[in-house]
Amino acid sequence: MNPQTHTLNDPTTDRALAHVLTRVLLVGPPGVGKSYAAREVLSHVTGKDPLQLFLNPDQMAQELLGFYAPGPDGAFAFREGILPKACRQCSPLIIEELGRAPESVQDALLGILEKPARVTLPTGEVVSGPIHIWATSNSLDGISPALLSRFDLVHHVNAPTPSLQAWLNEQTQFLGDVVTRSFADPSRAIDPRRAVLYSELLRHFSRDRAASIALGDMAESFLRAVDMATPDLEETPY
Amino acid sequence: MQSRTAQRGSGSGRVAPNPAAISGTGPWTVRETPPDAGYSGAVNVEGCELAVPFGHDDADRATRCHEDAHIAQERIGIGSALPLWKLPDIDYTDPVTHSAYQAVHDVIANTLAHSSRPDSVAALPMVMDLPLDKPRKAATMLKTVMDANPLGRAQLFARTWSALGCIRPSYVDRAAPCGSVAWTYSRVRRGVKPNVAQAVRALASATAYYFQGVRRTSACRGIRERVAERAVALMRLLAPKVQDFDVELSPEASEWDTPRFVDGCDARRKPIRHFDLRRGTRMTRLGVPVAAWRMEPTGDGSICRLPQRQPAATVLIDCSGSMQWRDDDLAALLRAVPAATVACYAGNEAGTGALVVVARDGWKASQTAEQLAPEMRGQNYVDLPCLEWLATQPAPRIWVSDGESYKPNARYGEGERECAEYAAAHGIERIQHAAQVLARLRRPTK
Repeated sequence: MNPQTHTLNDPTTDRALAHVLTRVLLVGPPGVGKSYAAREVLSHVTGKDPLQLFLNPDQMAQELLGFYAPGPDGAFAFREGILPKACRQCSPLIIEELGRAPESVQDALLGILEKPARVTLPTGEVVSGPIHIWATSNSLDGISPALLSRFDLVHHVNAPTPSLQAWLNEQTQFLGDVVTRSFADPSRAIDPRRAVLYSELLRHFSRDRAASIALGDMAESFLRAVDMATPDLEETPY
Repeated sequence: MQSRTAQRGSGSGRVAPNPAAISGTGPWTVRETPPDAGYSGAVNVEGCELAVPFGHDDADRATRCHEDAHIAQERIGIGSALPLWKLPDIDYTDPVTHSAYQAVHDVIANTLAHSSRPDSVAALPMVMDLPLDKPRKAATMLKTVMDANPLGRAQLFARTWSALGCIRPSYVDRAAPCGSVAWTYSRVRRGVKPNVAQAVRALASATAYYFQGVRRTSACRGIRERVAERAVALMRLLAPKVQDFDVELSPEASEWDTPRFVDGCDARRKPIRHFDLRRGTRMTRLGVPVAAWRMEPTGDGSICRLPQRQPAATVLIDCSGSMQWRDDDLAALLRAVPAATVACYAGNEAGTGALVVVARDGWKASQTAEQLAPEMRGQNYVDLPCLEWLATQPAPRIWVSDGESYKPNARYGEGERECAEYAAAHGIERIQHAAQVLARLRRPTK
C-alpha cells in the first residue's frame, strides 16, 4: 500500500502510534516544527537523544556509510558514517531535508529504512539494528517511489505541530495559538521562526519594536492578534 | 461597522492584516476600503472578507483594530451566542433594523478593541474629532451630528456612547458625572430613549466581563447568555421592529450548586509569617505573636505591656474571573492579619465548585486553593452556599467580591439579588478589593 493513502492519527501527538510506526516521513512547509516534533517524539519513545542527519544535493553516500581516511599515524583507517553509528548504538535517527538528497544517497538510505535497519559497509560488514527513523522534507518532489514506500506513514504537517504550539506558548503567552491560527490563511501565515525571534527580542526591546524587527509589515496585525488573545484586563471600560 | 453582505473594493495589499491569526478561519480576502465607499471599514465574517484602510495614521490603525474586534467576536464565542443574528424572520433590509444590528455589534467591538488596545478606541473616526477635554463643546458637536442623522440617531448615540465609555468612563457612568459634564451629556441623551445609555453600559460591562473569563477559563457558559440577553435588550431599544424577540434561557431548573469543602489547613499546613516578626519569633495557635521586643514599658506601674492580639475575622474570597484575585493579594492579607480564617471559592463551567479554607488560626495551607481544588476555574455558581458557610463562622464576616454572582440557569440579576439579601440578613460585609479588606480589619469592630 502506498503510504500516502494512510489516514492515521497524528504521530506527533499520538505517542502510542509513534511506538509502532518506526519509519515516518513528515512533509510540510518550513518552520512548522517538523524537526522539533520528531526530536521530541523520538526522545520520548526511545529514551535516547536522536542523531540528526542533514542532507543536501552535494552529499555523498560515503559520508553516510563511512570511508577510509588517514589516521594520526599516517595509516588509512575506516571511519564509520552516521548510519552504521546509529545502528550500532540503536539511536533514533532524524533525516532532515530528504527531498534534497541526490539519488546515490537515497539508494544508500534504502537499507537503513528496512526493518530492522541494515547497512552494508564498504568493508563488506553488515550492521543492523532496530532503530526508529523519522525523516522530514518540504515536499515529496525528488523522493524516489522506492524510498517513499519504505515509510510506514507519510504525515503532512501544514500548520505548527501541537508540540511547537505549546512550546511557543511557553515562550510568550498565547504566541503559539496566534501563529497556529494564522496558518488558516496560508498566504498570510506567520512564520514560527519569526515568532521565536520576536519572543527572544522581547527580552531586550519593547513589544512594538520587537514585532517590527521580527515581522516587518506583519507586525501590526500580529500584535493585534496577540492582543485579542491576551486582553489587558486592567483597564476594563465602565 | 459589520456588514451582513460582502463589501467589495479595489486596492492592493500594502499592509497585510491577518484576520486568520485572530479567527482561525480562512483564507481571507483583505481589500483596501475604496475612498468613495462611505464607510471606513467593513467585515463579512461568514464570507471571510475584510475591507480596511491600509494607511498608517491613527485613524486607520483604529479602524483596523475595530474590524479585527468584530472578527474576534466570532472566535471568543460571542457571535455564536447571539441567536438574534441567525433568525430568518427579522427583516435586515429595513434600514433602521440593519443600523441597529450594526450598532449593537459596534458596542461589543468597541469594548473588545479597548480591552486589547486601550488607545485604539480614541482614534476612531466617530470620537477622534470630539474635544474630550471640553465636555460641553464635545456634547454640542455630538448633538449636531445626531440631529443631522435623525433616522440613525439612537444607533449613532449607542456607538459613540460605548466608545466614550471606553475612553472616559466618567462621561457616561451615572455615578461619576457632575457639573457641566452631566449637564451637557444629558442634553445629548435627551434625543434618544432614556434606557439606551444604560443598555449600552450593561452590554459593554457584560462583554468586558466575558472577555476576561475567556482569558482565564475555557468556557463562560452563563456569561455568554448574559451578553446575548443584554445585546437583545439594546437591539429592542434601537430597532422597534424586533420588540417581540426574546432570548430563550435554558429550561433547566435554577439551583445553586453545593461546593466541595476542602480544609487546606487540616493536614498539610505551615505557619503564617507576620511581617513584623523577627527571626525566631514564635506564633501562638491563635496567630498572636509572642515576642519580647513587643513588650514595651508602660506608665501604669506594670513593667511592660503584653503583646496585642491580631485582629481576627473570617474572610471569604470570591476567586471568579471578574475579581482578578492574585496570590500576592492573599499573601499580603495573611501577613497583615495572620489570625484570620480565610477561605476561597470559585465554580467552573460545569456548574460545580469548591470552597477551600486556605488559612486558619495562624496556619496556612501549604498549597494554593487551585491546587487543593482543581475544580475552581474562575466561575461563580456557588456564591450563595459559600455565603451560608460564612454565616456560620465567627464575626466579623467579610465577603471579598465584586457582587457579580451568577446563579445557574437563572435570569441575570437573580443570583446577585439573592446573595445581597442573604449577606445583609446575616451580618456579612461585602468588600470590593483586597486593600479595603486590610483597612476594614484594622478598624475596630463596633
